[in-house]
Amino acid sequence: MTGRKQLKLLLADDDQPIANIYKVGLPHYFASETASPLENLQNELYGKTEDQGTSVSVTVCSQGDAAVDKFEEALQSGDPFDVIVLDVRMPPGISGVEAAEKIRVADQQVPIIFVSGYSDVTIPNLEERVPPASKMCYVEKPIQLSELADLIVEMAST
Amino acid sequence: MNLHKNISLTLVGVVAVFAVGSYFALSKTLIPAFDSLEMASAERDMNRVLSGLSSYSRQLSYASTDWSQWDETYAFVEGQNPSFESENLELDSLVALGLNVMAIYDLSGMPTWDMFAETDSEITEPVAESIIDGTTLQKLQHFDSPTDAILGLVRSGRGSMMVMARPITHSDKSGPVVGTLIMGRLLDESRVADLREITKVALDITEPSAADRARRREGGHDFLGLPEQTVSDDSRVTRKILYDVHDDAIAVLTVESPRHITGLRRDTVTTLIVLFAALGAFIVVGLSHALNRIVVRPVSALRQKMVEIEQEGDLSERVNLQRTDEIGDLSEAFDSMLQELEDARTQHIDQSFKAGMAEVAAGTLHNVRNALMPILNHVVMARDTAAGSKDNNARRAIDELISGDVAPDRREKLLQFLQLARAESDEECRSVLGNLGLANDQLDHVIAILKDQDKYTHADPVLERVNVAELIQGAAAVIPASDDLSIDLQVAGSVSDCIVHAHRVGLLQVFNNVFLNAYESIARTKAATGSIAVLARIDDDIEDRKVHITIHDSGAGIDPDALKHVFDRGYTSKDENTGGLGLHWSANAIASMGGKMSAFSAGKGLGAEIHVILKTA
Repeated sequence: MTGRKQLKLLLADDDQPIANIYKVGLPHYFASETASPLENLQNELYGKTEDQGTSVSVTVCSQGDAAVDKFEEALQSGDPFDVIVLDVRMPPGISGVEAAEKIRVADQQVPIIFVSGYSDVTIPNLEERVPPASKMCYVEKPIQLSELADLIVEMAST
Repeated sequence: MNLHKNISLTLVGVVAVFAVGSYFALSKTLIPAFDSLEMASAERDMNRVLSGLSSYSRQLSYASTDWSQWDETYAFVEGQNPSFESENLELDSLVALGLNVMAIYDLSGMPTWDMFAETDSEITEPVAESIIDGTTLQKLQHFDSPTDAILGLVRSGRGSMMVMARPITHSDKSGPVVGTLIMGRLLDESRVADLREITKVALDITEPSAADRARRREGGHDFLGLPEQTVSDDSRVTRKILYDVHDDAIAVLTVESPRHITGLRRDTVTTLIVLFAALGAFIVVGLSHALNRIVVRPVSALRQKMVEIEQEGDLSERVNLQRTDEIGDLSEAFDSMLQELEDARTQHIDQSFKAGMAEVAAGTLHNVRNALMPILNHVVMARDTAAGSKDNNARRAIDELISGDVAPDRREKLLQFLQLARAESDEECRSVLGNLGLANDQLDHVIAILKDQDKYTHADPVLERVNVAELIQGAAAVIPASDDLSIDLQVAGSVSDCIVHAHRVGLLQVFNNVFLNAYESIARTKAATGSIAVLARIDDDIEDRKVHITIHDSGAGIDPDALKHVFDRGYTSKDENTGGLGLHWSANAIASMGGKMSAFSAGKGLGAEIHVILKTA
């Protein structure tokens, strides 16, 4: 586990199947925290490959308010999230943009990725409401988790 | 109450007020004026009679002056002229002077000579007590000076008589007075007839009534009392009481003036009232007709059009009164307002339709994309799992075991590794199946979304009156302006008259598609110029009137085999695959409006025609 970085992700989407694949699928595109017996034995038989990848811990919410609460809790505990992934439309609660605005009040630098099937908010408007532009991006669904994982890593490094 | 009835009643009221006002005006001005004229006429009649009586008194005065201031008479009274009687005092003298009485008295009051004769009679007699009583004679012989004279009426035994008494003096009026000369003229029927003839006035002199006799004299002069008038239907009677020398009423002079002026007044007023009535009726009818034509009819037409528009909701209707007055301005303003309303409604419908489409599209996009994301990732995860790297190491372990050249402890670890790999492989298989199952569930979700959207496709489009010319003009804007290709758009036929029953936005989209296809087809010929010709005409079908719109382009044309499939879903003649939904959707849209769409081309390189047939509105 030496040299492995861990990203702490907060994801919010009101669509339950999407929330599930965030929770179940997304970690597959990051390095594992622990090796299984099979991996240990394989490493022993065929040589150990040092995993320099980034591991991840995933927290998933179904509403914007819950995401804001989770973010503030983590911030107060001294272990803040590294990247936030938000759906734009999350009825019946606040939208992802409104949640992001609240998060920006507490943290002006945490990267925020908007993932939406359809947004009536334009990117310039997002950049205005959730600055800075370099710490925010918008992607349309459907997106492959591998691409999302790459984007998360990229945004985390900015 | 409608406008026409209201105006008519108002006019009748105005004319009625005018008639009543006119009547009162006539009563206050014309009728009194006529009455004054009539009174004046009656006064004139009386004055003419009085003038006649004055002429009698003047004659008496002249004659009595001549005879009383004559030396011959003077000498006769003194008894010095005995021939005077035979030469002058005879009946002919009385007749010549128009007298009934002539008497000469000496200072003792005894008659020197006297004669009385009835008018037109040759019988004479002395002026006895029965003719003029003694008291009256005494009064007539009492003078204050030699030039004094007494004129008056006396009651004689033969009726009222006008008398003149003068003292007898020398010709130079010097005295001493030696006697009195009295001349009298009866106011009998003959004299009254003469007066009537002279004055042309209906007059009479009659005996006074007991009441007249009993009345005390009030005003007047000489023998005449004050005039009194009485009015009957036919005449206005003026009467004066005549007084004798003792101021006793002895006769009544009556002058009857026929009321010709009243008759004239009655005729005049009747004529004026008839004229006013006729004028009022003419004004009512004329104004009513004029107001009906100028105001009521246009306002009714405006109202009728408003009612029609309210009932039918057709904002394309116009009043168009073609007038230059305020009602025309109102009509024009109303038409202008209708135009704005129509434009606003059209814009509202268009925007509502677009907003609705945008809302549906946004919702569908959101739901489908959300549903696709798990599908995509479950499939990818299944794929990645199936292609996991651990399988390669298991194959290596098997190869090692088969080779037999393996240390026992390694062999043991290899076998253990294979067992664990097998177990993980089983787990991966389950994972793949699980992911595919979840992907399948999400596909069902996508299908459900599509079914949910399907219900909107069965909603009937809102059809309205659509002007084809306007849509053609609007659709022409989609033809790209390019330096490499110049398009000549020609519109022919009675396109401006073509009003169809269609869905405006849908039909506009159809024309957009057709124009874009035509442009792209022309562009594929690599020509620098091309043409798109639109022809619209109205076909009178047996059952229905239809608008036939033909859009011809000079483009690449369509192969006869391909022509059969131009309206198929997915068909495209373009090099790149754009989905081919344009003509397929257009044909469906036209069909949903109750119309038909077809295509024709003589072949490749010969251009193409799109025909759209719709019902007229």
